Amino acid sequence: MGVIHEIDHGTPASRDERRVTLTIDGQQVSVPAGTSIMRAATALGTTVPRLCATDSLQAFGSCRLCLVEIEGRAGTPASCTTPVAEGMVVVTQNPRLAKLRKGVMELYISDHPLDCLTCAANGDCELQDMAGAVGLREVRYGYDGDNHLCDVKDESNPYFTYDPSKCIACSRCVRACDEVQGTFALTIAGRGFESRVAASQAEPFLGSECVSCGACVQACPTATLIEKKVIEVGQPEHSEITTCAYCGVGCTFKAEMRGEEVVRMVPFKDGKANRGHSCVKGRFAWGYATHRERILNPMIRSSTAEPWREVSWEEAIGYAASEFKRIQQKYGRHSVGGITSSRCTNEETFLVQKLVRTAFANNNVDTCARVCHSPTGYGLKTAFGTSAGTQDFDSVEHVDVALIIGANPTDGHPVFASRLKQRLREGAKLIVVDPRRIDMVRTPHIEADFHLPLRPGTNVAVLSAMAHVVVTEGLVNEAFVRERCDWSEFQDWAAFVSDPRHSPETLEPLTGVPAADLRGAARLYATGGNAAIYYGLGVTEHSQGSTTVMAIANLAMATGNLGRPGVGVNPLRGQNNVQGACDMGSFPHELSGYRHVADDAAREMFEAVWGVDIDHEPGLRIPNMLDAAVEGAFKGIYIQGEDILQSDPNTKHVAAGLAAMECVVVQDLFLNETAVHAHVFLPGSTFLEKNGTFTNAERRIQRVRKVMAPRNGYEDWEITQLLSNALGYPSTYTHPSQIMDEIAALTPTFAGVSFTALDEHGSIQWPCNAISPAGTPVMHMDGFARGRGKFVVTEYVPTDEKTGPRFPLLLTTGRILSQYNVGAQTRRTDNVLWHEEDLLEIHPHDAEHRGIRDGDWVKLHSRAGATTLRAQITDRVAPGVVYTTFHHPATQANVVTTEFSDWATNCPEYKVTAVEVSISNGPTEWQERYEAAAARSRLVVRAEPAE
Amino acid sequence: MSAANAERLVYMANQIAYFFVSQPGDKAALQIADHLNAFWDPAMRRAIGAHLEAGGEGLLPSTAQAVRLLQQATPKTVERALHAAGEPSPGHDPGDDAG
Repeated sequence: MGVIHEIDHGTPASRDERRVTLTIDGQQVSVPAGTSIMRAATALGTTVPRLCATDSLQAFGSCRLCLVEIEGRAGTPASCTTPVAEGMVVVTQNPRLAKLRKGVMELYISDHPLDCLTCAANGDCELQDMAGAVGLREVRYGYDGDNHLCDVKDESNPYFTYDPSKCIACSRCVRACDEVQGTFALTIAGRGFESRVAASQAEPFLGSECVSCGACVQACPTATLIEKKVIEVGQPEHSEITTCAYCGVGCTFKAEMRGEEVVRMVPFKDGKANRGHSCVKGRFAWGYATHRERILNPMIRSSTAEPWREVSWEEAIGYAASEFKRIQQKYGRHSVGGITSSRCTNEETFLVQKLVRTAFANNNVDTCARVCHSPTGYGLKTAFGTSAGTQDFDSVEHVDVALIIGANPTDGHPVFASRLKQRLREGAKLIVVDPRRIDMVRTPHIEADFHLPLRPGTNVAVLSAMAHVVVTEGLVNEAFVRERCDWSEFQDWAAFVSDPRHSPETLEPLTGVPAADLRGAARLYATGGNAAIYYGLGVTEHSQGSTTVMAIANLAMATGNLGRPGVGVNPLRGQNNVQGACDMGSFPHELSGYRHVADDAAREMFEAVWGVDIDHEPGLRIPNMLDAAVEGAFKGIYIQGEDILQSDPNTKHVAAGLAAMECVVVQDLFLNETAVHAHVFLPGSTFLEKNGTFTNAERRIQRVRKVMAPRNGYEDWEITQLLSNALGYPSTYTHPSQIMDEIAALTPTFAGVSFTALDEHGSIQWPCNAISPAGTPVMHMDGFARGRGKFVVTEYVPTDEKTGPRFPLLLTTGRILSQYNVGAQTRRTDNVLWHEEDLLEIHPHDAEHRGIRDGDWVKLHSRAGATTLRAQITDRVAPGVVYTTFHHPATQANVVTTEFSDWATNCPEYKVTAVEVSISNGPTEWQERYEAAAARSRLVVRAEPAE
Repeated sequence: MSAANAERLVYMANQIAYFFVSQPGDKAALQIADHLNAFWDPAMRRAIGAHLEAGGEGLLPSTAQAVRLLQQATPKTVERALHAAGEPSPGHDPGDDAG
């Protein structure tokens, strides 16, 4: 087992369907028209020497190494920039070319430190390789001329260094930042001999516009830009393909290893979600796996007032099981439940819900999708018949108009954002519907055609107004609607949205969106070609979250933007396995594959395999569990990989619910905030330490591969299995592939999925069954899953969370690029350098009115609670709107959010909270009390070492 | 059940009612009842039933009608009646992958 090396074809593939035949070094080869000679040569196994070319970037033609001779043409053109032509005869190697190349290499090497033996890139340096390839034996110019050997290294970035003395000015880093990432943070400053890579205005990398995605490091052919970990550890000796555990994009990475130590995570070129790109989290923020705060031994305590006591696995599992049994005996079968995690694998999630339905013998299981994308499931199932997005990420390459609503892709889904930006730079149009001026509104070489800065909580009104324009201006794709949708329901809906009360002009005072802009956006969406909607939690986390999802589906159906590449309804899932957690039967009302527990046929299938009777009534959702706990009816919970105290709304209510329970079992990497109220702590494993699968936002099932032994002793599925056995329900899997086999046997859309199939295909998008054995990239191609698409009337119902004299501002929450969810992982990496605390964004007018200056401590309070944090004055937010993140427990932004939730799914209304902001001189009483209690609660009595 | 919990259940049930009342036709009570059957655990349904019997303070008329249906008919009966009226049951109907 060695390091996986992907073939670098030198230049990108051509998509031209025409074929061209040419001769290279006496051999005929046929390639798509538009292919470069360099790439065509690789089809014959010939690597033309090169330095500035790599197949993730457009050809540049600067290094002059890849020169070739072409019969009938003068000179020696660069093979990277010269396209093939029919009948062309090419020679890649002869004495003349060899001499030219050697001369070029001599010039490069004459200004390069000859420290190969001690260089971090030794063994992985293209300059070194090319010196070998051209047979360089001497440098006639010597090494005493002007050079850059004394240039100062920039070590400001925590993850990589920039050593200008090793730079060959090939521009690969600059082009990667431009073409792949789309940030345009790098440039070549100076001319001629003075040419050097510069970040922003020649600033240190850390302080520049660089977003640390790593594309430049990956593109660099030398050690100029190189990971600090490679400098520290050395070159990797083997690698494994795995899937990132951050966000719903699901990037494929090569985990490059030395023994069991990760040297670096390199985005895999054949990853079908990321196509070789990455962001700062997946690429660099994996150090939490070995962080000193990680808990590696099980712990128990009979009361949360006591310190933790380290115990054996046997004792911890036995204690948890006996407590759950005691509670069920005393309070009844329904007094306990569990929460599955979108951060864990499909197999682990499936096993937790199975434990609840078998060993607990109830359906009290829920998942963190409850607080993010549960409205997506309800809304899309109602409209189309399936609880998932309609497209793959590749679809973006065919988009003519992108409508982003309630999503901030550059921060939440950065690799997708980069792909979208590539398409926008090619000329696609952009509509952004968001209360904040997110980066996508205006970023280098991109400017949204329309930004509709709606008032938080008015999504449905805005979408109805867009539908009003589409219907009343005759922009409906009637042929599509008649063929694919229920015509009678369409007519009801069309009459509803046509009502003048839904016109942009009527709704402008309510939504804050200028009517002319809204009309322009609606016309563009309906008539601009392939139009795709991308949405996030700004859609779902509202009291009308499900209604908004259905309004989105209505708009897509009315304009015929479904069922082909380049269109569709695309929920950008928050966490890495939100889709999978939902698919795996984590909701209290349904089994895997979205079948209700009251469905006799479905239930009987599971009962036959599991050998138990399954409750035919739905169980409690997370907020219902907490309500029932406060009421005294719910007494015990098993939580795998979730931190509900920090992530769920109205922290005080969550704390009260947890405190009312007699047995809280937390399985996690760290003593998270929920663990403050826990009685049993089961140390979990990271994605690097386990086998399994994640399913990303495009329904793509991908392998997670173990690259090191679990430091805690067990993979998470093994821990659940231990608990199940201790509870009396036997579980005997020896590998997660067996769990996937069971999932496939019980879940028709997963019928063709197995670890073997995934290893063979790389990844599979469900449905994967006899009809679609290789999976389904785009859904509803020939008809909707439910038969005819359903138009739903979406009446706007204002939230009951209203502003008023006490709380005149609206708070909306979100995330930023460098941090992830509750920050348990990213706060334990150097990503904190970019975001060490949650900040409150406030408009200059609102700040001035309250005497707030930038950086001031402010108190943010709502009717639910108060917290303090620093103010950041910015016009990214509109007057009347404030914004913060929830990454840091010291802030606990959810102390402020309320229990209002989506009508259909109870997804919390995080995006609208009426608040007031005032100058503060210190933490709130809650923060002080909580900090002291949390510190007390984390005390651990270490186990005596064995004799 | 505490007053706070009753108030919360009433609020949630009325939220559901606001959606279905706005739909065409006059099947709101059936749709609300079916939604409650599909997504609320039996204890919550019993609790709101008890609240109705205690006077049903705060319940919208259509919500009250739906809660009465919960008490009179089994979930399957409600679901069948909804299907007979030509309406889907988004909670109960299988996803596309039900085989």
